Amino acid sequence: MLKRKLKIALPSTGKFLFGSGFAGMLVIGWFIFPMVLYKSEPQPIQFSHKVHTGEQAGMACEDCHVISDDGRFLGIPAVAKCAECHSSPIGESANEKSLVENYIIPNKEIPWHIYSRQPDNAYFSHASHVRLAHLKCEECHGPIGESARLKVYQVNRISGYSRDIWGENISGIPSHPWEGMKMDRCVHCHEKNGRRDGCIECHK
Amino acid sequence: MHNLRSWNVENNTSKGLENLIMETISEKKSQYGMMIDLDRCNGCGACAVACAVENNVPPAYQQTNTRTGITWMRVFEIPNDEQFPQSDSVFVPMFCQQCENETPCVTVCPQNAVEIDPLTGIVGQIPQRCLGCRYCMAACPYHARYFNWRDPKWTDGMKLQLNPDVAPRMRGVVEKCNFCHGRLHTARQKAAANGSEKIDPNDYVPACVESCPNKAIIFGDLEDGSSEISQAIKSKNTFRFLSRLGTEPKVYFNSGRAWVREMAEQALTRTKKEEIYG
Amino acid sequence: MNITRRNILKLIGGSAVGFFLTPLPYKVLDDSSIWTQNWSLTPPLPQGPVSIKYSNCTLCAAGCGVKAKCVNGIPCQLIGIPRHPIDNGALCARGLAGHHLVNHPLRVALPQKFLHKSPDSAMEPISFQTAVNEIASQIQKSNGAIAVFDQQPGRITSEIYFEFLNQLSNGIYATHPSREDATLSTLHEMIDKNNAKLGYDFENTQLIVSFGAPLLDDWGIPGRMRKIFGKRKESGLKLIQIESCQSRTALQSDVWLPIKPDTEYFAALAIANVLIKENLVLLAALRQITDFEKLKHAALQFTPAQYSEITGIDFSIIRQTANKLAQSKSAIVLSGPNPGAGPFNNETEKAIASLNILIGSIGTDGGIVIRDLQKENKNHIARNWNAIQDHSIEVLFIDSVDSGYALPWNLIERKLQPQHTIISLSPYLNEIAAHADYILPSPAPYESLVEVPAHVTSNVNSFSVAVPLFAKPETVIEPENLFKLITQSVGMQLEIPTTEEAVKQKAEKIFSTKRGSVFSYSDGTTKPVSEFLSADDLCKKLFEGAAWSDKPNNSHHPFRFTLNIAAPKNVPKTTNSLVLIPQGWKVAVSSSSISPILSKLFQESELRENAGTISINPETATRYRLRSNDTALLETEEGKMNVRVKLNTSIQPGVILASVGPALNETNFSDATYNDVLSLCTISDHGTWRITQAKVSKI
Repeated sequence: MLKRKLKIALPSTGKFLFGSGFAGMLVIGWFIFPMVLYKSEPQPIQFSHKVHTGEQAGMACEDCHVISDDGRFLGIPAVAKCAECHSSPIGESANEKSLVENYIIPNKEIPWHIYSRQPDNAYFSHASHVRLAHLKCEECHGPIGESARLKVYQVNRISGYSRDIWGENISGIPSHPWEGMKMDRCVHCHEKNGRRDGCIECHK
Repeated sequence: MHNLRSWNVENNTSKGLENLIMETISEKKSQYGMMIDLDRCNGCGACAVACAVENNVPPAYQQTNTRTGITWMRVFEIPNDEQFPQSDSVFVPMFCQQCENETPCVTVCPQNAVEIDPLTGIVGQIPQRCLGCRYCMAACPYHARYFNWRDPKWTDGMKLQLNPDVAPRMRGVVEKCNFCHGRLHTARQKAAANGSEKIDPNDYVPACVESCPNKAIIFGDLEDGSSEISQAIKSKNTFRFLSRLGTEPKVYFNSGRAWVREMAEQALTRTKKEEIYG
Repeated sequence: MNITRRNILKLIGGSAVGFFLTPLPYKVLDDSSIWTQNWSLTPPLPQGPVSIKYSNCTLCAAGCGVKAKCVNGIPCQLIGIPRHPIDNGALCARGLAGHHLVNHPLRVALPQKFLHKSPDSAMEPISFQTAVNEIASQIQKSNGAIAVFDQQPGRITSEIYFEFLNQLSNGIYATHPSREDATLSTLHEMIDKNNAKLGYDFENTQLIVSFGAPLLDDWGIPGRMRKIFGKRKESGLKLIQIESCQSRTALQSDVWLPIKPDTEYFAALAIANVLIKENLVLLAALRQITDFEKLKHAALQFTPAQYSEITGIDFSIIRQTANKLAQSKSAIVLSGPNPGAGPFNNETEKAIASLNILIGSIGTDGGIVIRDLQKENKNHIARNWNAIQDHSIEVLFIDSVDSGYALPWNLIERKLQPQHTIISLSPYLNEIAAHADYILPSPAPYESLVEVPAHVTSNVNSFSVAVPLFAKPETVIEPENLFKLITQSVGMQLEIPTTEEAVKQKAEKIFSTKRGSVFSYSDGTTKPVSEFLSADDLCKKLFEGAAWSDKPNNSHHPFRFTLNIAAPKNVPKTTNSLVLIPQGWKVAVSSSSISPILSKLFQESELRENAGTISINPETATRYRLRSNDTALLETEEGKMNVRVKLNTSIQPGVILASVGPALNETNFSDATYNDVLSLCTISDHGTWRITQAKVSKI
């Protein structure tokens, strides 16, 4: 009797609970989960691409991110490269001061967190994509050259890789073509361009 | 010749499937192969060491033996059946024979972790995909596949001396020779840096070939009629191991000794124990 | 609202539906699968710029040129230099993994003092200064000899040892009993020109008769030998190998004479017998020999039938060999120590060397030629280990460099006084260092600057420099600095040039003679010395990676020879018992001198035999009821040990080939339970250990 009464008296309780469970989970999955999954780690010093690529310095990507003669992409330049210009502070910024004092003078490499670090078994040749396929840096890396600050490096607590590998959007659906650096992104582009590659083409 | 275009979504969506297939077929295919002159090999083991260094194969654990070891390139000493002093033996470097037809490991793999690379004919193994069932090891007629029974172990200093071009494998997966595919990557990126898709054949030489002090190993593109290897395999003393299986290996051998050529059709034994006691 | 089971289920139901509409499950699945590929037990690859450095390998005296692929400046791969004039760009299996030795598991990082008296023979760290003071006081109060055991003579470090020992009244400079130039040094004793440095002119020879020299198994300069034999079809070179087991060299030889163990002396005399009896001796040579009668007497002591009986070779084959030697346009007869079984005794060496004199191969093209004439030969001070009086050494320094040849501890021990101090300079705690009282580690290979002089078997002079590829740890000490400290403590003065200075002096000397040419490693070009602008220019090139090699010295000098060969006293008895022959592979006879990656050859395949393995003929095995892979007890007069049995039809029945290979996974050689096969070998009065009576039984 009581049960039936309750059921009649509060017909929305079940639905409400169902709905709140549903909604709660959506909140957890879409908003709280990313916060828990990723841990923010500060970069050792701040860096502005814009200052370097802008009118002041007018540098191109390749000036620092070099593809060597043997086709290896050297990635983030060594501190010796920075020292070519910053042997002593040029401007007034605290970051530059830190660069000179903590890294250039003791000749110590800057322990950057690398947004695009891939697992060791993935092989990627910048040389063939840039020199043969004529891809522009921005097509994969986005307008990073115009950024004034380094964004926060977020490391995935489970996999240990940067958030940028999966993409900013937790759903995995990129909001920009350059977002995300997982294998399906590679495959997508290769398929579109009619490449039929074996696994070992991109795995070492 | 196939060309990668810059990433332009609109441009590519209009492309028909037909075009894609056309392009894939027009891709120039290589067939990498090897030939070993067994009369020049004296079993020094340089190839096996160079291979392990190049491919980041770890040193053995204390318990490791000839059955559980990992030797992508393993040199066997095969005696003839004669007694001292008529005895003779031949050293046979044995590694993945890169079977072209009905490749046994490819056929059996439940994970699609092995495939023949469409551009090079190299039988590629993707350890990350491997689930460790070892079906391929049972299927391989050449015993050329090896299982990681343990995690790789190097001293701390040696970890900094790993070859950056080849990823180390984890416990529980199978691995094997892939004609030093890491070196093909390096050769390709070097060519690409100079704006060319065609690699310099001198840039892609597997570690065993490079290290052989007797120059007993020839490597090259079998499709390229002018290459040294495609000429060399025409010699009458050229043979392949277990050719009767019809797997069309791309690794050839050469010996002037008739008993060596005949031996190649017999099953290769793993140890001298098997040899002597059957 | 009441909390009922149903409501909770609804909440859970709602959450479950919601859960699958969030990225959470898929993302966690994806990330965990990446994690499994990324766990800490698989080491991460080194990241950083890849560069190329050039140096020379110093694992043995060959000193092959090396190109190192480096990541972050740390070598990760070594390979030979193509078209290198001396080694032809070939590295041996150990050399290919030589860069691992810096990080060898047996490496001793700090100076150590052994407490042999304590039950567990523990080591304790000691400072260099304390160790030096203790050693210096030992030297000062010693009655016996002070000896330095140098396994690779001819280096600048060797000069330092001379200087040091010369200042002591009781100093002995000792060299390894196994010498790759055994035949050359024996000939050197026989000729009247003792300032001549001899070398083998393999490049022009037609016939090589080798008494057990492992010519094709990394003997001498491995790449040189391989080049010469690689071209044998075109050059017509023939190799006759006289050896009791079917070694790799015997397998590749044109003729293999499978003689009975330890009868090389008689085989050499048998050949001399044919040469003399059939008037095949070069007349010109005959006139140059002072005491030909002695050799004649020795060679004619036995009849052909007796020679056949002793050596186990049909005399007609010996006759053919002798005829080929006499008829060949150019020929070399040589012996080489066996990496495991060591050298021959003096009489055997003399008999082998004298064959070269009889066929007139000394000073002719394709024979034994003069590499160089030098004013003074300091090597005369050097004493072969076997020439040292027994129980005479009180303080013994063992140099860090490995000769690549086996060295039984018993052989060292018999020269030591009961109260002795041994100082090992080895960077590793290996089989020999485990007996030391002090380990004062030198830099490991590729950690210090080492000069590479011409190899002792080479026919041309050459010079290159092994520049360090690694930074030297602060806890190691170069031998020259150690000896500086010791001489200061003893109160002596020692004028020691640094290696760098010595290299500069050498470069100046080369530049002043304007001889030869310099091969550059980076671009493979050759430039005559005369085109260099200055000695500094030349020196700089050598440091960048280059090899200087001289023109062959074509001077032909008439020699006079004194043979002084004693006739054999007795014929070796044939016994029914088994004979034990140690067998090894150059450089890989000690566990510390090879990279752990050599397990690919020793442990993970059966290409080379690990320590503790014996190989016997299946026939012998049946006789002793042994099967393959059995564990057997190997017994000799010296002791016994457990061994693993392997069967091989190419081994003489009655012979046990025991591997002097490395014990790759052994970590404690100072442990009393560790036993190597060399300790089972009987050391003869001549200081040889080639053959030992042995027994095997199944356990």
